[in-house]
This record gives sequence, C-alpha cells and structure tokens, in this order.
Amino acid sequence: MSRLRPGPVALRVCVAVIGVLMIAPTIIIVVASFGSTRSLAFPPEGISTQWYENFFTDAWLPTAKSSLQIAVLTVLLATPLGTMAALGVARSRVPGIRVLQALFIAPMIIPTVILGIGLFQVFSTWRITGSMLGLVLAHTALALPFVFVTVGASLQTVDPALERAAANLGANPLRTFVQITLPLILPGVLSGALFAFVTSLDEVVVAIFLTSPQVTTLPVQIFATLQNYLDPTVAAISTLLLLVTLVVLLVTAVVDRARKTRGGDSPGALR
Amino acid sequence: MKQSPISPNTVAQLPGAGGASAGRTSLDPGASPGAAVSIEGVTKRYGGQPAVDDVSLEITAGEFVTFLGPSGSGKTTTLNMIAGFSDLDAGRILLDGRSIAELPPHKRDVGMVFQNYALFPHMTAFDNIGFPLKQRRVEKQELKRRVMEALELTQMEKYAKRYPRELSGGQQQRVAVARAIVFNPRVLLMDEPLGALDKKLRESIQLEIKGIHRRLGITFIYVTHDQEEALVLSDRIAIFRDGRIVQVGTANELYERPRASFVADFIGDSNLFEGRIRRNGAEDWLESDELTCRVALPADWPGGDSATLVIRPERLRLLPAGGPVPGDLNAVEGVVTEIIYLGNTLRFVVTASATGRAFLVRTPITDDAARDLRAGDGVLVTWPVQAGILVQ
Repeated sequence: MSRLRPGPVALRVCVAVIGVLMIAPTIIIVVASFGSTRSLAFPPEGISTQWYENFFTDAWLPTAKSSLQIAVLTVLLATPLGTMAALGVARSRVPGIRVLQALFIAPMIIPTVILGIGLFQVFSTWRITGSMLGLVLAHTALALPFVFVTVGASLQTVDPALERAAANLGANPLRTFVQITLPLILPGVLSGALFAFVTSLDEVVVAIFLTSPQVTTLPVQIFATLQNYLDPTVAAISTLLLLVTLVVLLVTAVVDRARKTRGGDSPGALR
Repeated sequence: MKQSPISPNTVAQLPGAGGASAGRTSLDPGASPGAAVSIEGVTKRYGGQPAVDDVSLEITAGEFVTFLGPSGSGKTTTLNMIAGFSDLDAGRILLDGRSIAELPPHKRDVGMVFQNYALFPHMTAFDNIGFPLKQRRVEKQELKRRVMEALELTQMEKYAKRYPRELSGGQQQRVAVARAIVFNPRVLLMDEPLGALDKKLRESIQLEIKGIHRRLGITFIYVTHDQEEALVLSDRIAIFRDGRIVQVGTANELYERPRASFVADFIGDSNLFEGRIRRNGAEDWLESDELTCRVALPADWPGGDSATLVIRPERLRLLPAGGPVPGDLNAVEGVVTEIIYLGNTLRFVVTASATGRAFLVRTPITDDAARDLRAGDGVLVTWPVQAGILVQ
C-alpha cells in the first residue's frame, strides 16, 4: 500500500529523472560510437566498428599508451604517498595536525585551472613541462587527496590499540604497519589507488598546460580533436575508457566480496 | 643473562637463541622467572596537568600488584609508561635495576593484556598467539609447540583456528592472555582485562588468572577499578587517587589499617565521620556534628587535630535500647530504618536519634538478638573504642 503514497512516488520520479540525466550522456556516446557517419550523430545512421578500428592506428595509440603509463605511474606514486600522509595525520599527536590535513586535501578543492597555471610556472623553471615526469607529478598531486581520504576513512575503523599491541608484542613500527595496519586498511588503499588511476586517466585541465606534441594524454587529444570536428573516434575512445573504468571497478568489487566471504578479513569486524 | 630482559634483537642474533628463551618454557618453574619493577618518582603531565604525579613503587620479582583507583586516577597512565606507550616527564622505571625508559615499546619484552583485548581481527587465535614469536623469529616447529602450550594453559586448544570475531568475550580474553605470555615476558601488564565480561565469568577468569600467575611465577601488574577484583587477585594493592598512590599494602593492611579516608571508603564499606580531636583528661575524643565519641589515637599519630574516624560495619554491634552499656564501648541511640538480608549476614541501617546520621551495621546471621529486630525498633549502636580507626 505504501508505494501508492505520494511521497515515495515523487521520490521515485525524482530519482529516475536524476538517474537518466546522469547516465543518458554516457549511453548516447556509447551508442553513437557505433555509428557509420563521418560526424558524431545520435541516433546513429547505420552501424559500424570503423571508429574503433580508427583508434587502433598511429594517430591514437601512442597517446593511449602514454596516458596509461602516466596513470599507472601516478597510482604507484600517489598511493604510498597518500597512505603515508593519512597514517601520519591519523596517528600523530602533534598539535595543529588539522592544518596539514587541509593541505593534503587542497588539490581536490583548489580550482584545477589555478593548479594548472601554478604547476606550469613551476615546472617551466624545472624544465619538466611537456614531459611524462611533469604529468605524473601533477597527476599525483591531484590524485593524492583521493588516496588520503579513502585511507583516512579506513584508518578510522582500525583500533589504535591494535598497533600498540603489535608494538608490545615485539613488532617494530614498520613490521606493525606491514602485518597489522596495512592488511586492515587494504580495501581503502585499493579504492584510493583506483580513484588515483581514474583521476589521472580522466584529467584534462592540468594536462592541457603540461602536454607537448611529444607527450600527450587521451583527454587532451580528444579535446583538441573535438575543436576541429565531431570525430566519432572520440566516442569510441570514451566508450573504451568507460569499459576500462568499469572493469577496474568490477574487479575491486569482486575482490572485496571474496575477502568478506572468506571471513576474518573485513576490517570492520573488530569486536 | 637470565636476570636481564632479553630484547628481541639479542634473541635474533644469538645462535640457538630460540632455545635461550625457550629453555625457560612457560611451564618451567625456574628460579625467579619474573622481573623486579621499580617505579621511581614517575610523573606524566597532559597540558600542564599532572596525570601521574611523582609515583614511586617497588615491585618484587614474581609479585602480583594491583593498581586500584577510580577512572582518571593515573593507574592506566602508569601502566602505559611501563609498557612504553607513554613517555615519562620525570622519574625512572627500572626492570631488574635497568632503566627501560629509553627502550621503545617493541624492545621492552613486557607482556600486556589490553582492555578490549586488541586481538588482530585478520588473524586466527593461533596466528594472534604466534605473532610475538614470529617477531622474535622463532623457528616454525618451536613456534607451533609454544603456541599450543599457551593455548593449553588457557584451555583454548579447540579454538586455534577461529578468528577473534568468532569467539566469545571470555574466549577472546583467554587468547589475549595466551598471546601476552607466550613469549615468556618477565612482567605481565593487564589493563582492566575483565571489564567487558559479566560477573560470573569474571569470577571464574579471576581464578584462572591467579592460577596462571602461580604457575608462571612472573610479575603481574594489574589495573582495575573493581576493589573486589583487587582483593581476590593481589599480593599487594596500590590505591591511586588524582595521579598519586595514596597507600600500598596487602588487602588485609588496607582494610584493617587504612591511612586515608579515601582508602577506607574505596576498600569495603565504612562509616566515616569527619571531626576534630579533643583531649579530655586521659581520654581522646572525636567531636563532629554527627558524632562525638571516644577514640584511640594510634601510637604513630602525626599530630594535628582534624581527623576522620573509620568504623567498619561489622565492628558495630546492636544492643537493646535502654539496656546497660559496658564502659569500654561507645554507644549511640538510634532507630532501625532498614534491614537487608544477605544470606550469611544481616545489614542494618540505623538512624541516630540525636543527629539523624545513618550508621551501616553488619551482623552475622547467627546473632540472635539482631535477627529479631524489626524496622522501627529502638537500638543502641555500640563499638569498642579500639575498633574505630583514625585517619587524617
């Protein structure tokens, strides 16, 4: 009976509208990527996979490769850094540690354009604009807050007494981290790494400042291409990016579920 | 070597070091497996406020000492300083004469049972107990043997493969104890280890803890706010209040000869009267708003005339009102306002007629005269002058 009450009905409609608004653009792009016309069109006229074939050519592949390299390097850099930052802030007894916390999250809050300009200025003097190193460093700064936040949330569920117990039982701080803390915050570390990967893969504003003809990323090339004409290859690439993200998400979810059903390993089950 | 705390590093470097500490297995009644602990003028401040204020205590090897006090009295902070979780602002802590203040927690070789056990949730009971041995690089077969031995000692053999969340509170507690003793520490610290358990379980585990102490012979330092627990377990009890030790002694000493009203109040039931001491001829008197009576000044009374009189409820005797009073007894007229039957004893609340002050009286159930009393009866509350204890 309750489903007929106006409140829930209105709520359902709202949720449906929001859902459609959020997903529709993605679906349109996915569908359009299979079109056969030379310009992006929806609904597509005819069906073909030529734009996917087009992607796997010299025009796009090197960019895709460097994009992935940058994303992977960003993950490898941002994940340990963000984890250590979160650990330091969570366990520190130094007064004023909150200021540091705000600093670590800052790249998430500061407008990306401003960050891009600033990084461009600094990297120019360091002569690392237009290099993979510059892009990795910039993306690490952008991705670090995500790791910091997810790991910080995981740490909240870990009783500090566990680390004290490990110390009491003879484990030095490093061994305590490896054997006790890390296994318990691993889900947070992994989702932080995932966020870092997606952040780097997806980032366009800072990358515009820092890319060069030699090193560029997919979002930047997509952006550049779209300024000339609506190349359906862009839709194909977007669909592929979407696929990569979905796969990573799915794997994480499956791994997480496996951990939970295997028993004992879920970090929330402290007592 | 036996006398010095063996740090995990030394163990790792010694050839056959597993043997060095394994030789003294937990069941081996070797000579003094425990360490003497000296706490000397230890002070800890938080934001200028002393949490522990110049605490000193000598604990002999193999002794069972309890830190007893209300929350915030500094007992847990003192324990944490022994474990190395809290730095000292002043003073020293010695293990068998060696200062341990400079050692980080993981090099102290002091076992600890935490308030909520702090079992590692991602490890089985076996792996939890094996953890300290793994840190000391004990060889696999030896590790297994010693873990099983510890499981046996705590009667947890059947639960080796369980994760902590699959264990009851009492079982988790046993695993925590096994984990804290498996590496043969010479001192075991326990921070309110029974706080989360129900009364019945608490009592049976208290006896187990006492048994383990007897078998291992190592030094136990136990923190609790439960005076009954302290009385059951301890060789000696240190009463903490406001960051200081008020009194140290055996249960008997603290009960029979409290040196502060706080101690008398904390250990067992008491009737307390604050007043001033007046000398009247050959007799000393306590004068207060609620009671004026003869008192026996102890020989070592430090002087000063303000004092608190402590009278334990079982030292009071009820006599019929209007009856004769022997000369060496203090007597107060009152009316029985409450009678509580406690099986082996009767508890009376008697309200003094003159002052309205309530007296707590406990008599054995075999006291025929007391047993016939009813609420509303007039009585005389009496006690020998010597039964009142004066404290400052």
